[in-house]
Amino acid sequence: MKQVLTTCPYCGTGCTFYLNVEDDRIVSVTPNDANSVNQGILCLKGHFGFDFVDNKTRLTNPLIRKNGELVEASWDEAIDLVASKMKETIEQHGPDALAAFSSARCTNEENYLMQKLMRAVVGTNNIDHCARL
Amino acid sequence: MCALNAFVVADPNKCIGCKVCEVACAVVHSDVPVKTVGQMTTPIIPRLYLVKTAEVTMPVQCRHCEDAPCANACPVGAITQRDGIIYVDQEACVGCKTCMLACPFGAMEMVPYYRNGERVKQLRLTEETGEGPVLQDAFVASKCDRCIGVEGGPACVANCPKEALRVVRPDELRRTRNLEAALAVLESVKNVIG
Amino acid sequence: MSGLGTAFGSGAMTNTINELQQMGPNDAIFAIGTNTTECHPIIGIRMLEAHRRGARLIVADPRETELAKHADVYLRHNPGSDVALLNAMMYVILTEGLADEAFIKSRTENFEACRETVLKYSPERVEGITGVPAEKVRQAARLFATAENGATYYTMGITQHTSGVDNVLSVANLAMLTGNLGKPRAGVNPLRGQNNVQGACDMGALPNVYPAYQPVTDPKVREKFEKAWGRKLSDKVGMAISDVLRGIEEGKVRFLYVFGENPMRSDPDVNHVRHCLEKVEFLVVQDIFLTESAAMADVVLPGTTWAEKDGTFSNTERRVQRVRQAVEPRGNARPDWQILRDLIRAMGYPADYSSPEEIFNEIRTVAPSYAGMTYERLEKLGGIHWPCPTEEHPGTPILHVGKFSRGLGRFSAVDWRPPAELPDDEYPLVLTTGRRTAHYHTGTMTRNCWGLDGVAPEEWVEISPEDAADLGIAHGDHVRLTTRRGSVVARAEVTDRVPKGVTFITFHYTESAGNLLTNSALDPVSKTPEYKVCAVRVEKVSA
Ligand code: SF4
Ligand code: SF4
Ligand code: SF4
Ligand code: SF4
Repeated sequence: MKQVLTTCPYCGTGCTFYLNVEDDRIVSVTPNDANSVNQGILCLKGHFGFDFVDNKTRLTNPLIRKNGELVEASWDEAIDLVASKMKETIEQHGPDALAAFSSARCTNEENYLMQKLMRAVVGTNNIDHCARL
Repeated sequence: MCALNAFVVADPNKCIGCKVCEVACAVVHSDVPVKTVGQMTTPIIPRLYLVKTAEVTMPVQCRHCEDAPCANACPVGAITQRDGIIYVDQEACVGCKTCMLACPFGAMEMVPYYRNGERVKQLRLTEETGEGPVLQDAFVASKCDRCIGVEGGPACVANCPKEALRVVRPDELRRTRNLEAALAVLESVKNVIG
Repeated sequence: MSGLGTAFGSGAMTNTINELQQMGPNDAIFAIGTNTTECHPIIGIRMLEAHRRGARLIVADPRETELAKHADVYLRHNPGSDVALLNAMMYVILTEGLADEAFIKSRTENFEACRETVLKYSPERVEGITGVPAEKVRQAARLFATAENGATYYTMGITQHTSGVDNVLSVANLAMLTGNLGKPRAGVNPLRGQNNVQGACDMGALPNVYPAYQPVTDPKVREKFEKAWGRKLSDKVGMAISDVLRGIEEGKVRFLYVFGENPMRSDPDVNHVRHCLEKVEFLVVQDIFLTESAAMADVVLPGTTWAEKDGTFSNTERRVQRVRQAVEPRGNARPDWQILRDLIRAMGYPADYSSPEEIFNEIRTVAPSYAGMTYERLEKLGGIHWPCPTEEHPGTPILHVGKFSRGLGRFSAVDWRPPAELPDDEYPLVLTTGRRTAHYHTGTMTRNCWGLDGVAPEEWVEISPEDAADLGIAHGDHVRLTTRRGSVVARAEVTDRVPKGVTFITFHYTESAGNLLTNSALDPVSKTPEYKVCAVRVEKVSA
């Protein structure tokens, strides 16, 4: 069994725990004790809130709307479509016609890239996330 | 004399009502191995029940009574004493709910019966539906088994973040209380005599 | 952010969670508008443990929460009356000579203006607004002000109001008045609801600041970022979520990228959001499930859960901690940083990051408060509190020691304003929203968990026994809640937890999205929607 130390994805307390992994599946969680906020304890979400990872309804392929329906597409196709739409919108309506909502659930690195995409690449400060909510 | 049955009990002054105990209990008693969590099809079936009202917050579970009313009431003898616990033989249970009526704690619950993740059906009993008779689902009595055979002891106790649950071993309890009382007497005598 | 930023120069939690473990009889905990044991259980547990060791516990909440049950003084104030309540507490502290004069003199400014305003709010005078007996307010104020150290904690119960910024300013006033900043076991501590709200703010996912709160309107700062990123940058403050929605309405915003959020559930006034998402020309949603928002998108990009990628989160106490990949991405889903990197590249901008660590190292070069953190140090120390300017710096668990981030702490004169929507004949009750133990935010994750959905699978609306009797509602009945914006059906939990006149609903469930009902009236400064108060009508439905 592999044990991977990580940080809880739920509330802002930032408890840490080990994900116990067998055959590429998380089987259980062990609270972290040393150097942690939680010191060996966890709440319900931290303890048992991991199986959404293997939920059957997870999105596993990019989807593109064609004739009103969302259909599966390749990564290249999806990324190219988004990029060309972004460029097209910038050309026709200027950078401030684009906006992004970033994610308070995703990592710092991802939030950094999201705002960099909007600021440095698109050229707008229309970036927000739902901290207010 | 045999030892009295141990049981798990909560401290209402400590419990915050987080339900970790309920889910921990359901997980260790799930009839499908935990490895498939995420593909889980069976419902959560805990064996202790959180009471959360304006006055009190704590889970309630079986006391493993010495003269167990549930066992005495069961018409088919499905409830017996084994290895220091009161045990429900779910195969033998006929779902008559007498034990539910008998238990003063509400520790007994009737739950859908699962085997290998599949709903167990009644042998004969059918229900009349629009599409003709269909075999009825089986329901059986279920309650705390003090996690007999579970590594690390009762799952609810092990996982409660507030240490609100503990296993009470009646004989030990008496001895500790005696000791505490004796020490208290010593303390007060000291104060008086100096 | 706005409130604490104004008062102290930083919007973050000033102290740390583990300080609760050192609290005892000389310390006080003041929890206002936070259902801590349900929303931040581990912090709630620490509070209760501190209380058992003798720390004084004061709880102010319209709902009688678990924490309230243990409180030495429980103030059940009317929803939306926080400023009046806090001013009344300060009135007592001022008039009874319990204020920390030395601290006020040496560390703060604008005290006189605050004092003048506060002196209008005697506990007796505001009883009608707060619904709290004056004597209780006096008790609470004395208990807090006479403690050696007093720490205040709050969450959305304080911020999700049209007066949210005022509420926060009042909390800051109280803390400064009692000298409870820049020392252990004290401070003003907003508890963040989501795991990385702090990080998203730190990283500049805000319309007015670059990473580490450097204003986009400051030419010097902009120049620095232009140099770092090699592009000309906009000097215009961007649009907040609510502005974006309005911008779509007005045809100004035509392309929307929604990353890991479900505005169809988390935003107030869902019907309005739906309309906007339908209207925007091109909608991209990056998420792990086909949420209501994703189902409306033109392109859906499958991201990964936290267990399938590396990175860092910054918790509510500014502690940066590692997230580590435990399992492989499912199906063709990709770690979100890779998706964003590839998109940046496809836009013709260089992005060669081969790991989140490389991105983190770039962050360190532009965000001074993160400069001294490395993945190696995070690993070794189990997390570092920012600001951490150099690799030798141990991090900063407690902010504003000796000096506030902005120099002097600033008092504000804050008057109470009524909530935007009050009950009337047609909508006679107050509706307030929140969350439950087993669930989290919009439920995208928790409702897809066996264990979590199993223990709380259905929406319950809390209603007081008095109101229930008036409306002929019994425990477990199906009831319809109607506001000016929409209506939902849920089951009634008749309970003393809510006072007469108040109902409570959560926003975790699609079937009865609480936010169909709530008011999108915003705080004029922070643009936080008023989730916590709106007017509602409740009726029994025959099911
Ligand atoms: S374990 Fe519970 S308290 Fe800790 S971070 Fe996760 S959700 Fe928050
Ligand atoms: S786990 Fe402990 S604190 Fe949580 S509900 Fe059960 S007994 Fe109470
Ligand atoms: S189920 Fe009830 S009656 Fe039976 S042993 Fe347990 S507590 Fe006693
Ligand atoms: S002892 Fe085991 S069976 Fe009994 S309530 Fe606790 S977890 Fe459930």
